[in-house]
Amino acid sequence: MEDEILVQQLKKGSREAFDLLYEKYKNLVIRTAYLITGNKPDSEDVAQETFVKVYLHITELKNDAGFKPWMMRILVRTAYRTGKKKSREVPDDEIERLSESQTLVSPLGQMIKREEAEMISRAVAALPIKQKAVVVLYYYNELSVGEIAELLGCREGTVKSRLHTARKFLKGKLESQMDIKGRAQ
Amino acid sequence: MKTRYEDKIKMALEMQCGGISASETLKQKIDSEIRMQGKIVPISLPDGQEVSMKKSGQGKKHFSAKKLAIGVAAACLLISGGTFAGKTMGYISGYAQSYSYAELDKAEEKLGFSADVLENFSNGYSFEEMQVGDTHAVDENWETVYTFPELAVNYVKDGVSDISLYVDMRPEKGEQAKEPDMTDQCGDIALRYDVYTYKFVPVGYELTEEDLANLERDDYEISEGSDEVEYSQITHVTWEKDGVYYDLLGSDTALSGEEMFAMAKELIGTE
Repeated sequence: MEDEILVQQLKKGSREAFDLLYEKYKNLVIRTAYLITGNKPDSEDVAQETFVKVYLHITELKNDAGFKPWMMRILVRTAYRTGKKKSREVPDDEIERLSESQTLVSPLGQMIKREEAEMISRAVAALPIKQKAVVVLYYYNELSVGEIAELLGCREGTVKSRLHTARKFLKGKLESQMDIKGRAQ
Repeated sequence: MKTRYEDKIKMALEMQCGGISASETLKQKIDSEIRMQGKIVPISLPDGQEVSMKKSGQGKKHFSAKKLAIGVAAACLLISGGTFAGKTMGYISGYAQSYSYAELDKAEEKLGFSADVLENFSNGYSFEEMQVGDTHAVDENWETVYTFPELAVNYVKDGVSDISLYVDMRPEKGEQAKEPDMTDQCGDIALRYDVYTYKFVPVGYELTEEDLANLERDDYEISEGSDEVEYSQITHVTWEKDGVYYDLLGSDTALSGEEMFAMAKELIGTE
């Protein structure tokens, strides 16, 4: 069912509409939250808070068709608040999980070495929260610069700037790590 | 167009979170949190039946969540007499906007009616903060029966914020089964004072025989959502003026019924 219809039903108090929206977006929300916060417990907290806010504040959504970006805005702001309190380092156990899990290989994953993916993940995790959010929204959620700007409530130039800085940081980080690894071998 | 290097970023992110999925308990926690905002919560009884209980709350940004939820929960009792006659089974409140006392006009505009709100009481309590939000009256299936705006005001004295005022114009009124603990009169306005005991329990708490017996009382509620078992005494002075419903709520306050009546009378006298 279309989001717009579900939102209209939810605004009238339909619990079923909320459940359907939850089912539709739960994994997108928790995965995006995970990439921004860097760990599973925080991503669960962010997802929980996001859906609770969606339920309680749905009547404040003016454009029913714009549910997804509205929800994503709530998600990112909630993740900001959570992420700001945390270290930029990815906890070792999270990286370990990336290394060992057999379920993490995406269809595209064959094109990238696991070791390289881990390096990128570490580098993304080390980004300042606002740059990290832009990187996640752009690369993982595949939103355009304009969509991200609208979602974050900032100028497109700001998004471009954050993306540029993040790319530069990631590239430098990866090159230095590859260099260290190359010298060690 | 993304470069190969950028494709790798996307792949790495997909690999990193590809194994992450919502836990089986996430929805349960979300439902629980929503209910904690003031809705009645079904808790499993030992024999598998369910009983409706009022919830404690978390997540209110500025107000004492427990206090706020209790206020709403207590309102359920006030309209339903504890037996929940009619369709309404509880309320869910979402407070979205905060106002200073100087912004009372704006708050009233949002509410859609005028409310008696004081900045200072003669006993030393003073305005701390107020919020306006929509409250959903829901039935037993969580379906909204109707929505009404509500004003919540916090008052503080000596750093203790244990008095709140809730104001609304809910369309549904009802009689209480519980006898008031005290009554008073202010002109032609009837005031009633009620004392409730709340037992807060962790999620998943199993009710004891004693709990079940206490739930039969009109002045005893069990609320789910705390980290450990704790008790709270909630006092209310309630009245209706010009179709507006007022609930002056004390949360573990040392104020007596007479002192709360005096505060109510000051509010009623507000122009």
